[in-house]
Amino acid sequence: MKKEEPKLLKIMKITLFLLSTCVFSIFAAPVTSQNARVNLNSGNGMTIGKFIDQVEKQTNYLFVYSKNDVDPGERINVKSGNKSVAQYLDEAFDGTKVKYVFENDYIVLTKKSALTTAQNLAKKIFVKVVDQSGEPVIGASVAIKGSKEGGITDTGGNCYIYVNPGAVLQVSFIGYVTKEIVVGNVTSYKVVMSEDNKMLNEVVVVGYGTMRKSDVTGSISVAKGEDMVKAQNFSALDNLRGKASGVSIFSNSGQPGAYASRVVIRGLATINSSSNPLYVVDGVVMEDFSLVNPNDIESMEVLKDASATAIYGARGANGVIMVTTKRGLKDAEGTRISYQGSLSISNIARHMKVLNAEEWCDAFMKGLQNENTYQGKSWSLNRTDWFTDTDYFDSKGYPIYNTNWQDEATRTAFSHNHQINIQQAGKTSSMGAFLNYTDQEGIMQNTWSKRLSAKMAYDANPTKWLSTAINLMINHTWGRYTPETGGGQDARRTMIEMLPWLPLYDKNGDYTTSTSPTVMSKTFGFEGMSNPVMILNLQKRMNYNTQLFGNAAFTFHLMQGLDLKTQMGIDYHSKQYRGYSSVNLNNISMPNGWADYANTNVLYWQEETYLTYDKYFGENHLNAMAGLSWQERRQNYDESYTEGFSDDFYEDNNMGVGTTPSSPSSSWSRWAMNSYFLRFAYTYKDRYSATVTGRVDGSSKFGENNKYAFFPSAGLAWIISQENFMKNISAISTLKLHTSYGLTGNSEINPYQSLANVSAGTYLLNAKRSAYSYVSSLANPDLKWEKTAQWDLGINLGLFQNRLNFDVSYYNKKTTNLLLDCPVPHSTGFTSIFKNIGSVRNQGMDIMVNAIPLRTKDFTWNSTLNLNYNKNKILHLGENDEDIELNGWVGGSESILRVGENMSSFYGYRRYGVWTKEDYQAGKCELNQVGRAHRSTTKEIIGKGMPDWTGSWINTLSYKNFDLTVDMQFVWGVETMQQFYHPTYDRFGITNGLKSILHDSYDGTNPKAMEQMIYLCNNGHAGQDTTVDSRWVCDGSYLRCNMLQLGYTFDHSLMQKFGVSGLRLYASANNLFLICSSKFQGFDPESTSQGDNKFGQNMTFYSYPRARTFTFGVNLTF
Amino acid sequence: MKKILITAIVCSGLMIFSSCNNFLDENPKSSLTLQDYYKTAAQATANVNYLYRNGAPTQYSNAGSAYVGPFATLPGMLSGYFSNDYEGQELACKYSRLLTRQANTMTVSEKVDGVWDGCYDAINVANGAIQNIPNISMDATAKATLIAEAKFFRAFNYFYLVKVFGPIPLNQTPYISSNQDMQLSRSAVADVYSLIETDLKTAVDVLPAKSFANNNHRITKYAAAMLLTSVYMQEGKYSDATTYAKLVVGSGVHGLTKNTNMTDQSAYNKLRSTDDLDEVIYAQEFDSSINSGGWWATYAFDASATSIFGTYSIFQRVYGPSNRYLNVYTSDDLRIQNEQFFHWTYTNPNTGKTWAAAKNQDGSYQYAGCWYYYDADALLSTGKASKDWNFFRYAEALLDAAECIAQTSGVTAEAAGYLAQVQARANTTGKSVADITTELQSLQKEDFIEACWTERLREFPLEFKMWDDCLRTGKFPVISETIKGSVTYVDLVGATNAAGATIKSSDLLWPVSLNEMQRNKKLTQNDGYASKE
Repeated sequence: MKKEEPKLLKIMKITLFLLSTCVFSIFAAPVTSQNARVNLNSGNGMTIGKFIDQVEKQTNYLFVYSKNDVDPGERINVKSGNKSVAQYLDEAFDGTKVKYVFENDYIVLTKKSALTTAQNLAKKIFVKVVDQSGEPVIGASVAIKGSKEGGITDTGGNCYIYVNPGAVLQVSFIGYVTKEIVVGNVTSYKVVMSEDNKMLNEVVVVGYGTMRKSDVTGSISVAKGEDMVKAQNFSALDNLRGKASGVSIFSNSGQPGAYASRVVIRGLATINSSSNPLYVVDGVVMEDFSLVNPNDIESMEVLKDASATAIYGARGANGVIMVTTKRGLKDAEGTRISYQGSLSISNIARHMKVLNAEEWCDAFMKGLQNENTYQGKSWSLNRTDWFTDTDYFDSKGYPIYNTNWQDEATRTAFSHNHQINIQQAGKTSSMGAFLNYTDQEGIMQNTWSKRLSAKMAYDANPTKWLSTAINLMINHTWGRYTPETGGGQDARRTMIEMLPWLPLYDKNGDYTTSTSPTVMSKTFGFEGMSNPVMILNLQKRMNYNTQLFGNAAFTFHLMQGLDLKTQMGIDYHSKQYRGYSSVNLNNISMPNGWADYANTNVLYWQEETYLTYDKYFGENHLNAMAGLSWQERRQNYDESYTEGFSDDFYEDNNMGVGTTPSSPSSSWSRWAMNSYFLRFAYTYKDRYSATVTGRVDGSSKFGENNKYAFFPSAGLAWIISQENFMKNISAISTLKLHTSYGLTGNSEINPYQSLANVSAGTYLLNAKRSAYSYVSSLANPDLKWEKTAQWDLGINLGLFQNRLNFDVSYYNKKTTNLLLDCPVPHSTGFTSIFKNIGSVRNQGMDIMVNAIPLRTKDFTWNSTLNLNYNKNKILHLGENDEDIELNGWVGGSESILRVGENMSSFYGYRRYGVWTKEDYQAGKCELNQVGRAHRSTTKEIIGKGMPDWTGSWINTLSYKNFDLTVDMQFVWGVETMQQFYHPTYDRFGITNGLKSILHDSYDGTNPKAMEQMIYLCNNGHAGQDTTVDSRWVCDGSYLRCNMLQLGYTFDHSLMQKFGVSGLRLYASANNLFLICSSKFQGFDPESTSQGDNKFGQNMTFYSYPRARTFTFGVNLTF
Repeated sequence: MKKILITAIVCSGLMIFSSCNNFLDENPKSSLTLQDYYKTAAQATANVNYLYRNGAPTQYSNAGSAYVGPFATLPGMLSGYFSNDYEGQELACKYSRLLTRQANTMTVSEKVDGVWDGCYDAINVANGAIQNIPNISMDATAKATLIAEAKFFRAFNYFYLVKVFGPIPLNQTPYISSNQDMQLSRSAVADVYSLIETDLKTAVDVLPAKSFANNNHRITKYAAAMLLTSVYMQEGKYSDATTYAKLVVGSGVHGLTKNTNMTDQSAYNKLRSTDDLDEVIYAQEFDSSINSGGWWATYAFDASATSIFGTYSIFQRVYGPSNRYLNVYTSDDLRIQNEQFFHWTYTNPNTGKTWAAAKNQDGSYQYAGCWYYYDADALLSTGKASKDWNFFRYAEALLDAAECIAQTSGVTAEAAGYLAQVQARANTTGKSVADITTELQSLQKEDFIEACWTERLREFPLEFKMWDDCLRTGKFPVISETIKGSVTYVDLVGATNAAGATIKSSDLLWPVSLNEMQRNKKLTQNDGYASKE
């Protein structure tokens, strides 16, 4: 006889097995009978625990209980004797708080209904929840609509709940269609739940409309606004990280608001065009999405494969992120006002280990000794001959001060965020008004970002045949930042390289710079630098961005299922940069200072009109759409810059006083697109779906001969679990296979690239500004669209009422006609021509596993694993498959694009080690080479900056009113290039260096050392050989605890007394810990100094230190 | 109702369609395109103006980095007499000095990319100007002048390339689209020189017979003649060179700068600090507001100078002569005195802070600073180098003429007179030009020619002329370690440079960039260098 386990346990068992996580253990149990007799030897000392023990020994019953409900130590009264199990159970638990239920071969003990909170007006009702076969549904949620209050059904499918008459109860359980019942006079309700036929009613947002999720043939991942906003990041992109499978987000900057995170969907597939996805917010394309208020977002849908993205044709190749923002109330009439607020405290999460003052001096002395031994020098080894500046050194040559510049340049930052949502709905209209104020401080002094944002949405159905929708958003962000790109002497660099024995101020009260030790700087010749605090105080770089974004739409309901929608949207940005740098900033802007203004205005508009038809004909479901679109973008830019200030009084407020103004600059550009698109989706019997899309795009950016291009796609889906032969396999709730193939394009290049442009400007000739001009680009009238052909094969598998879900898709994307700055022989006078040549392949898997390993009355554990594996390979480049070298810096190019290789390849020499004394003795090197780097003579690929694997593992646990989120994020199969090794190892003596100089470098006794012997870089010294090599590169994989959040939701009944309908408090920690290679010596392996250069990921000279943030927040609903 | 609605929508849709005929046209407003270019005199002028600050001239004049000088500093390092204090980072300097470029082709090849790219960029612009300006309707003289200037620059760029690389791709047609043949083979050196000579002869014929300063700082007949002289000398065509050298010497608009005193108002200090001297035949303009001279002023010291100036934060001796090189001067030569071409100690007049070159244990200086690069305004107040960079000056014309005459006609009074003028200016013992002329006339031809070579080493130590002379003469100057003023000449190939390395025949040229060889399959590598990565 097959032993049946309770449904709940079966689910758990398999779930847990699959997750390889052990929470429960399942006991093996022999056959038993319902009326088995038991003979217990009690005595008065019987506890529940003992009772269970004895019953289990004598029968084959097993007890199941939660320690929260049942205390095994609790005493019970049972009389000895030979009785049936049931008799004993009645005896044992009558009059206690425990009740029992037989469930096959298990006896489930639970607490008797604990709803003791007296509610004067409410009455107690009984709800029994069963499925279509009459089996009780255990663990279903019975909630009072509009509140957090409710209960969970027990093992009998029963639940008691106190409600006010007229309230609406929502009964829901994963895998079943949610039911609502209106509470009337009856006190007992039976709810028959029907299985949710494979998400049949779930709807997802697709391009130009929505579709039933079941009908979708493409790969789409969904992230909910409320999940994303938990982390309280400044940018919506940082919030999205880890929430959607196949979307890799590189949060390269820890600085609020200044540098956007990079988003890459399914790998890099372009070289000279943009790799950013297209952001479509409420149907309107938006740029600078990173500045948008994340609190306004209802949900984000990521369209990844061609079947989903091809409807966006020429702008879809990098994937499309569909953003739906909040609007008025949807499901009920009334008003809801809510407030979300948080306060955060941030600190530097990790320090770089640099030499302290004394170690600096020790390392310097060691360098002198090395030079005497190997370089034929005869330096004095007496400290007092060197450390002579009595302002900073004592009479024995030991430093007086010891400054930790990282501590000086950073701070404990306080941030807060406030969001008010007012949502309302009437019979024919609804309205939402949203206000946000965010003030986020960066952990480096004087860096911050603020946002003031207001959004208003109004939806109405004025007549039967017309619906209207208006959405308007005004978003102003402003802030002060410190640069994170390039190799200059900015604060993020000097906070590491500044000499540790200098104090913050000199004896006159002025900031110290590298020239402060006047006496010593003559012999030492320190690298010119200002101390980081000075830079952060005296250099102001401000951004002011104002965005107006909105749309108005009319939907005409022409006939049943046939709608015509016309929507006009705009996205306007006014961006201003203002900078001033002091006349005193050594090696930055001394002696002249500079002031800089740059204004960019962007106006984008689109008008789209489309017809949709959605209709069921028996078992046929047809969803069709056809439309047209016009888009135009205009940009103005102007900049003024001057130097020549005599002091810092005016800053950037009176640029006229600068004596050496640069000539003003400005530019104008425009592009436009005109498109026609259609989609035809057909589903038969809710099992077989096909989608065909097509879009014709015309763009002004392309050559006269190739303005228009066609982007088709086709997709098929088969919901196998709907088939009759699958009906009996109860473990499988959903099984869907889908595949698609299609073409998308990439037109995100600057306009005018098909033309032979003439660059023009002015420079010095005959002692005045004179005009110059020359033909700066080669014409290519054949310039056309970059095309990506993508094949996608996916499977959705839902097991055990969808408590365990797999969403896995494989993709193979081949991009051809690459819009490439194709190298030409430089003897032509040009370096490249913009051409359609070259090809790139991205192949990989998106994997999402979602599970609810545990769900009891009080405790739920939801776990989601997101993974993306991507393999990127360049197939073809230029006429001769020439290498394209990029990111030139110390040692030349440090990145390379080479056929057969990953696009993010690092390029440098290989470090074999250092030349040793033994090498010298064997005649392999000169004496003065001893201790210097032993490298290959040619460069090779020494790593890559984009990971093979990116992923996240997000767990949400709730126990009673508590909820806990553990959000882990990781990358694997990636390297990081520590460009700061160049100064911190090889330029020691004129700067500070890493602690490991002192401990790990070659000293004559450690022939396996990789680090060069200390040779000082100061004036008259031997100096170090420095160039980009493999020593700079280390494993860039990491595991980060992105967020840990503990929340508490107050009981509805309690809060009602205060006129509040919902209250949640939470505390969270962001970036709680980071596990990465021990060879990594920077702040965070995920960073870049290359700005938004798409080939600069994980190439970091110095980065803004990452913060660890603790947040306290409140979500309040009235 | 519904019908009206639909009709309205369809009509408005049609209207949108019909009104969008030009919607996808491109009409850039902030840049011209080729179809509107080469139409006006102003465009022609602007186009030729581009050549003044791009390509070959910048290989000498561009001090864009605090840590390494313009490319022209590197050939000087092949002699071993000059070095960059920061060669641990600027490895191409180190490999040049140690003559190990061949084993480090990749590193060096990235360095020469700048030369190749810059010169060919200018050549293509010059080709465009030469081809298109004739079709512009404009004043005929102005037109001819602009074309001649373009030819001067085309020649200047090709000349620079041929000296660095030897045989190179030669092209006179501007590239405007991708259909043209871009895979050019290397042309014979003689063909390159042939084009250079033709271009320069036109330039000499057409361009105004004025000084550079009086010709709105545009290329003159004499600048072209100077370049042509250099070209002929490089080719060993001393007879042709004589013609053009004498054209400059006899110009009447150029002459030697005179010493006002033998200290701060010496000719050499004037050349260092004053623009538009009659001696200057061609220069790169710099000023403090539009185009500053970058880091030039900082090359005058070593790294320790950061402590005495508040205007620059990095100082490096990027082209520092060795003490042995300084033995090229006799000790009474004006040019070796402190603060003429070189200096060893310096006091900041604003602050009284002093700088001195590092000393050996015996109290002698380890090296000299390069006073010729000192720019008082830049270092003491503005932080912006503004002194023009002199490419050609009259002293060179004199030395060219002296040597060329001697090469072709022996030691004549004329030749001796020219050399004497240069020597007399540096003479601190009161000898007149006539005295020296007489002395020189007693020299044998070979000795006289060597005297000319030595004088070039003394007169242009910091102006990057030495390696060109080594190449054209095939001789390496062996400067005495001990005896001041003593120089002997040995065959260049086989000589030991001042860093102790032996000069090989493959050291005479630089490698073709490995990247360029990838892009152009017809290119071949110079002997001794790697041709693949």
